[in-house]
Amino acid sequence: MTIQIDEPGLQHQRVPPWRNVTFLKWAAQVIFLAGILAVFWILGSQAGDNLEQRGISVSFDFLADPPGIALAEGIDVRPDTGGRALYTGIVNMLRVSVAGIFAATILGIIIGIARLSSNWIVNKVATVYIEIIRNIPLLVQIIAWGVIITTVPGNLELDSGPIGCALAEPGCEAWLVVSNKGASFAWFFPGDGFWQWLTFLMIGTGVSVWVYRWRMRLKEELGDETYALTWGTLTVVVFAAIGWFVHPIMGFLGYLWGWMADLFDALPVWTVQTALALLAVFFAGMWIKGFLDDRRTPAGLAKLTDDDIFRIGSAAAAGLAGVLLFFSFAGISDWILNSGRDLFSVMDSKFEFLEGGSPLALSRPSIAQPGNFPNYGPTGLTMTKLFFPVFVGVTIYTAAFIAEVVRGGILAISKGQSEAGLALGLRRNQLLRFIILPQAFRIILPPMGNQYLNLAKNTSLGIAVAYPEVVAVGQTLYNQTGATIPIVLLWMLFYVSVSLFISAIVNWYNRRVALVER
Amino acid sequence: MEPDMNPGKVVLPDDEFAPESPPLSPSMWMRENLFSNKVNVVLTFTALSIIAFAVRNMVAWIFAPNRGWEAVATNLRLLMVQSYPAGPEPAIPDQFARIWLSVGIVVVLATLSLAAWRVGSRVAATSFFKTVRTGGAVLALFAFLGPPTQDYAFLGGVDIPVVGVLFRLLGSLVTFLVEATLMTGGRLVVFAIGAAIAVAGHLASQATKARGEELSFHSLFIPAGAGALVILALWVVPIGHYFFVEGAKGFEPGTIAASTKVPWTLIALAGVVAYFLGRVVVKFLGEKLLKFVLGLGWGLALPVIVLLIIRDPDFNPERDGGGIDFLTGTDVTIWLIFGVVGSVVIGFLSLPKLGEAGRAIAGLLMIGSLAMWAFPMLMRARLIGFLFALFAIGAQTFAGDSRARARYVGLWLAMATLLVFFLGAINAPGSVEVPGKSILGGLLLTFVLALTSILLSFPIGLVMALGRTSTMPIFRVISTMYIELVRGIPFITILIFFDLILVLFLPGNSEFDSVTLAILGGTLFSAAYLAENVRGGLQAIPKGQYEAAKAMGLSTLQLTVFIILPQALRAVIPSLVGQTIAIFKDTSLVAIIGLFDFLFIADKVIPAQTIFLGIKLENIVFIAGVYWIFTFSFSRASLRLEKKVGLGER
Repeated sequence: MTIQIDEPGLQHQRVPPWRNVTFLKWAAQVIFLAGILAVFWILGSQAGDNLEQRGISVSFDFLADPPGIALAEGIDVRPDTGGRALYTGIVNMLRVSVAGIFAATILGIIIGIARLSSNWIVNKVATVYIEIIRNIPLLVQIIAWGVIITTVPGNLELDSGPIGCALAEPGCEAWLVVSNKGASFAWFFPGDGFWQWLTFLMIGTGVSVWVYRWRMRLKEELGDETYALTWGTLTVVVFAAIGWFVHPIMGFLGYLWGWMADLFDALPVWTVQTALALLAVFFAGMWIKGFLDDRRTPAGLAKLTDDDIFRIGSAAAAGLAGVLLFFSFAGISDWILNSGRDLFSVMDSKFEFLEGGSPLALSRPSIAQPGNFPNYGPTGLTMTKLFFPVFVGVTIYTAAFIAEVVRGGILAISKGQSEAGLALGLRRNQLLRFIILPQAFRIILPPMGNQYLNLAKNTSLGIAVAYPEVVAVGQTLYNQTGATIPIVLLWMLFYVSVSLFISAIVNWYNRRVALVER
Repeated sequence: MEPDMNPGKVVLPDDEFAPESPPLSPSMWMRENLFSNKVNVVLTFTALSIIAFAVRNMVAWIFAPNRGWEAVATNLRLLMVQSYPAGPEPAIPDQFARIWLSVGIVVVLATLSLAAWRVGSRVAATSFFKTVRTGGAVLALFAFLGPPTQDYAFLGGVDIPVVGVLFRLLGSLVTFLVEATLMTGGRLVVFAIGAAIAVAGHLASQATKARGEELSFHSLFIPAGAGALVILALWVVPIGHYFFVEGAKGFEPGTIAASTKVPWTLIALAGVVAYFLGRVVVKFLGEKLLKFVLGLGWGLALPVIVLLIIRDPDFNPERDGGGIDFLTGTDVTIWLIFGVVGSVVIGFLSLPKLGEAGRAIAGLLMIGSLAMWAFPMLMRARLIGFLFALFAIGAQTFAGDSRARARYVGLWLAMATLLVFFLGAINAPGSVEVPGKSILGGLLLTFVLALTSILLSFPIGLVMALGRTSTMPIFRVISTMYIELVRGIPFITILIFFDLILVLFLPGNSEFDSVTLAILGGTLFSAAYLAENVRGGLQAIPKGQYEAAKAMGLSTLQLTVFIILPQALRAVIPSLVGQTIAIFKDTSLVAIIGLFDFLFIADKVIPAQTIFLGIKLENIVFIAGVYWIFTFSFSRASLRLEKKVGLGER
């Protein structure tokens, strides 16, 4: 925004910088940025002095050193490096988050719909649930569940288990056991060839979408009932059934993944660096080009204001900073190469079963006594007494919020929509499927994504019941090694990545759903 | 009760104008609401069995003979204020009157506000008594539903045989029911209370029915009556505490009741008196004055209670050594320089004829105030200097005629005075001795943390929201980065960061109280969420408002302060209350970093006491109830507020 002066003689005289609003605004911003950078620099150098004085290291060496800690549960309870310990914590956190997201979604939708029920007592039960759960701090609830599971009656005993038969006998397996050691229940576990079978399932899903659309098109053309949903579901079932027996033929994918892993291994670092730098330059250039295109009129390029020049300059500077970043820190490119190779190697190892095997195997809980006290055996899906409070706590808490989101989304659809649908002769379930839910879903989705994010972050409260997720493991680690600053940085990096990942998915889906609207 | 409202009319809150539906008979109601079709029948029985299961287990748990409710009863003071000195035992002078005074101030302010904002409406006596009847019946039913348990004294002072005799007088039918279910002890008491309430409610509703809906009373009588009942209980029931002597648990009746009944009675009386005083003031002087005074009172309540009443700062710490006196010390000098001289400067800078020169001088003052950070001097002087420079910059923008100028200068003088005084109070050492490390603890700490964080985060969040919606890219990117970073990471990592790491970044051997650090973390955390709430309000403002304001010739700052923010903030009041509730719940996380808040005491301190070793779930359930009462009433109040300002009706 420049100041326009109408007197003809002054028209082309430039406004002096100290009265030029654009210049002042940019000057203020640049000074502010410089100020912030200066404050960070001062704090950083101060931290360096302080750390030296106290003899605390800020290096990331602890990631490769033996941590000297044992974890209560996870993929690696006696990790040999600090990095491995943190990785175990991350896997634990993701485990409880994903399980919690599934369970909370189902419970939340049930309660949200119950809240809208015309049945008085169901409605009241849902209301009481929501009003009680969401008004009590989650940490209090998690601690309460932690106490409850350890005081649950029915201790594990080898001779008289909760299911009647003596669990110590080799053949005795239960469906569901709850005790002060946690809960364990029967579950399907992936067996040999699971991933090859999953490939079949994914192809089947893709085909079934196509089949569904085809049947729907036919229905619109002919006006007859074409059972599109049944056809779609049957397609998936057929693919799953075929895949169950012939999944070994997907083994060829393993060679493909192995070849990709070799490729990532062979690429020199500078290729990735160059590619990334080119990408930075490309994006900056595209932004500038788009910006200039906006200013292009039939009469030629519009005169660029000071503000425009500052903006273009900033974009160019950002692109240049990207190039410098990628060339001065080869570690970034190296990391990309390594993780790409590792990913494809892991995928390679999952696809090497050429003999037929059962992709899913039912496994029922059993009891074992390795030391003095009986505990759950390796079979069955076991929620330990540490996992249980975190999982149940975040699930029940988030479900209350999801229920409100679902209820709000359905209530937001105006009554006229239902009335119009009914007037067209739709049945109740058709009304819900074709009119209400597609519209409600669009409203529900963004807040739902927010709730998933909250759930993922809230699993960090597992530290209060000693569940070894990433924060708790980090705390144990810095108590051992003193590396507080690196660990807090790693936490932040991890959680910000998770947040960005979830919000990226939600945004992507949101954009897809929103496109249908107009 | 309400002289200016139509006294005869009964105002029903929601469906004022809805046609009255004819009352259904119970069987018709059930057929319509519970058994309308096959699915509903199944759902009803499922829900009923869920309720029966939950209630049965809850009742069994609550009244189990080995429940340690006495842990909560004995440790009430610890839960509320941790180790604030109360009584002769710990060889530290009794300062508990300060706590009662603080509670009294809050209660008086609250009742005055009720009077000023005319909260409440008329409630028909019949419908109220019907609700009482239902409540009593549900209570009795819950007690009745529990499985039979052993005899158990649930309140220390209640003598079970006496209650039993009273109970038998109620009639043979009830006695039969009691014997049939072996209901004894605490369950019996609760059942008796519930049944008595139900019977009394029924009789009262029958008695008032004849008078129709004409018989009504003010709805504030309900909370007032409930409070009166609780206080009456303190006078009647000898609630006491447990102790541990020579390996055996002993009970001393009446101790807790004796130490609390007089203060609570006085506070309640003060509240009632304040309410009627407020009504008189509203009637004769108008509500505007009272609302202004109350706004000021609520604004000052938190710093006054925390800094002055609870801490009791000693402004003359070195009296004996011939040191600095408050009046002759640095504080007064700072006040004279910034308050008095500063007022003159700001008055001069706001002269309209000064124009651009005023801004230039203000800019120089800002540079000077920033330069103060480079030289060693009192932190208080730096902070006030910065605020002064901000006021100087705003002088040309906000000052018009002489009245506006006077108001602006007055505002600065008030701000400077308050800031100097409270910074002086923070700086002065507290004179209340406590056995523990921090003077704040328990529920008091929870409240102080939540309120301070939300109040301090408000200006930061506002600036961040403006930055995020700004057209200036660097401000926008910085605000966005801050907001998204903080919203992306869990609160506990922020708390750990402030608790452990912040000190490493600060010069010298800076020492911070861990409560201060937690407040700092809470402030910066809630600022990011608050910014998003305010942004929602900012984006709801139609573009025409900006254009109209620009057309009027307002500058960007004037436009923001006078046109945009008042509308935006009004639109986000409900979400701000929601944010306050969230912060109140989130303060429980400080228990993880070892602050002695409400949760920590229940979770770690009481279960470690020799006499109540391992008693944990009872404490947790109790504090969950307390948290619930506060958050639930906040959210209900917020709903009412939403309705009152007419939001959500567009």
